[in-house]
Amino acid sequence: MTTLVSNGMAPAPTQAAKLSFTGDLEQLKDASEAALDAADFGIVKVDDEGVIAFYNTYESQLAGVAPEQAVGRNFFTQVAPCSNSRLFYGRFKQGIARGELDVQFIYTFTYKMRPTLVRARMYRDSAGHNWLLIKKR
Amino acid sequence: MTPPSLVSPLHAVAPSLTSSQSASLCNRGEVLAEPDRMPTPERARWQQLLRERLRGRPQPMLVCEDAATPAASIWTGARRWVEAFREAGLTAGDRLVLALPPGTPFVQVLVAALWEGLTLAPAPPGADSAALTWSLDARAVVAETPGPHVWVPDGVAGPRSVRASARTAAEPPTPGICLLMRTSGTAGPARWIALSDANVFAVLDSHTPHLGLSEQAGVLAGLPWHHAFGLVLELLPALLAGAEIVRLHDPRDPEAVLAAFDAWAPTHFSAVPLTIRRLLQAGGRVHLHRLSGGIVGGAPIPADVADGLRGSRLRVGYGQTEAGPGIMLGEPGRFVPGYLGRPVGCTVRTDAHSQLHFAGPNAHAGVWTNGHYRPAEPGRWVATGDRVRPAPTEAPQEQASNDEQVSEANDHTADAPSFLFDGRLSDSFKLSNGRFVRAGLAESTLRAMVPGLLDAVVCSLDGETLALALLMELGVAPPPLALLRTALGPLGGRLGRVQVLTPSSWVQHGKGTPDRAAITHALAART
Repeated sequence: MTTLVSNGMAPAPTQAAKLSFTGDLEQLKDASEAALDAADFGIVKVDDEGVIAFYNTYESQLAGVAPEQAVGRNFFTQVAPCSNSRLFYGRFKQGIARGELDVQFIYTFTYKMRPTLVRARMYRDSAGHNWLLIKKR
Repeated sequence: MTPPSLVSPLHAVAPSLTSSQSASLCNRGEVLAEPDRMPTPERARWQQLLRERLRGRPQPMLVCEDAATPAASIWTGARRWVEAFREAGLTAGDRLVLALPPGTPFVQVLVAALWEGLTLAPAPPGADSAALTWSLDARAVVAETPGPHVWVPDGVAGPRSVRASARTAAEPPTPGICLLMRTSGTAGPARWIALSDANVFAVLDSHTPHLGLSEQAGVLAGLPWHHAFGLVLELLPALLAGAEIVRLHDPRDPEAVLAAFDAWAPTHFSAVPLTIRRLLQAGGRVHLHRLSGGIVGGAPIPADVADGLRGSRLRVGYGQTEAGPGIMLGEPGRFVPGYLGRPVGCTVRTDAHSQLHFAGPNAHAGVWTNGHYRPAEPGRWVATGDRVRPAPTEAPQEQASNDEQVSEANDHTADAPSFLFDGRLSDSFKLSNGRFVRAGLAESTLRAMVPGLLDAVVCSLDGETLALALLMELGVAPPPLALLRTALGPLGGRLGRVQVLTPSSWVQHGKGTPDRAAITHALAART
């Protein structure tokens, strides 16, 4: 079974192992859109500038931002401008410049007018795709 | 506007947001509605500043307990506190005790209180809420432990419950007073100093230009925020400058502080001399010299700290809670023992006893004592209780002058006089023959003249001769008696007992000043 191709994602089997926030994130690049949407944490795929290519269901529901509203916009400067900081965007840019990115930290986003602690992880896979993972604490 | 169908019904975006902001997970929060009456100019200034610097912005960024909270979430958390305060009927001038540890909820409550014009009384975390409520006639408390009229934070998400009821105060509200700050007691019995919005703005306006803070700055914050030094000169300038603020969990642990230096590469750090001494002893000189700015104050600068900081970009700061708390700043890198700096934003003078007085917009608006607010006369001179003498242009003279000095200055320029600390007025005593001993002056002279001397206490155990307690650098031999007598000048002939105490016997107050009573007691016990 395959899923529809969108946002540049390659079709992939949905029966892949369940995605894990803390696990090996190399599986992200081969995961189907359905598998990404089924994750119990937010998954955002961005290019090297931070422009969103994929925005999963968890993140959409958490943030109250529809995927259609998010895709094509810059995560750091347009969708989540409070992440446009040295700690967040700065680390992303450093990782892109190095060609290696896998950092985790705790951040306070505001969801539905309520400050909320989340675990954030930024990862660049071996194919050069950049992933932002967000999970409520 | 965002098409309604694209936004979850539970995620109501404020109507004032533009379409470019609507699909955002960093809610800017509503512009808070104002109460019916017009805010005072000072309160309006707070509101404008806080809105501009926090709402929807990534910085200032507050990092506490490994969690980073951007300005936008400080703002939305503060907004929830404002809603709770309003629901409980708190209005401008109502007194609110804040007994939280320094962290994100502390800052959110501070922002909400400044926004609402409340009179905030920061207290140490874990303070007795009931006792503070009673003594300050406060309407409510924010603390970690539930109790009557107590709000407990729900982490960084505002109050855990908005149902806490405010008590009815017996005393009138104190509008225009934004802070009640408990003095440390070094200037007399501890009391609550009332700082007006105008006091705090005066210190921020006069001191901030010298601090070099910006959105690129990283502030390593270790001062207690329930003291004026930490709140007004560490937290607020960094917050309003949009800096990255990393809160230290245990600033008394030099290894942990230096690890934070390595991890965060801060540009600014302020501390009391005792903290600096610990960092220097732990090998932190290079860390301190990498900094772009910061204030070292709260206690006189001892020789070893001066040696370690000379040539850095840090500067001496002198003040008291009664001055909101800024009176003087030193030049970057100018560190000599006892140096206080030059007046900033106020006028100073010395009296016939060399006691420093100050006057200006930083002079506290009043005092809360014995259950009542007592306003102070505007424009008055405030006695500091500190003896000072003019600082020489270069290094301080080794032998202090006893001549009385009168000087005035009101600007932080190279032409303004600078001063050296000569001890507390209350440190002086008389020997039985009537000879007047300025202990603080004698001690500062000893510190300047005796190599390896970290600190000294001059006292008398018998009323006739002087006793001297010394704290020496590790491995440094006790100084020869002749040198001590020379340093004491005419008092040298009265020198009797000299005792070098170990660091563990050298009892200090929290900010590093020696506890005279305890050290005198220790000397007497060894006699």
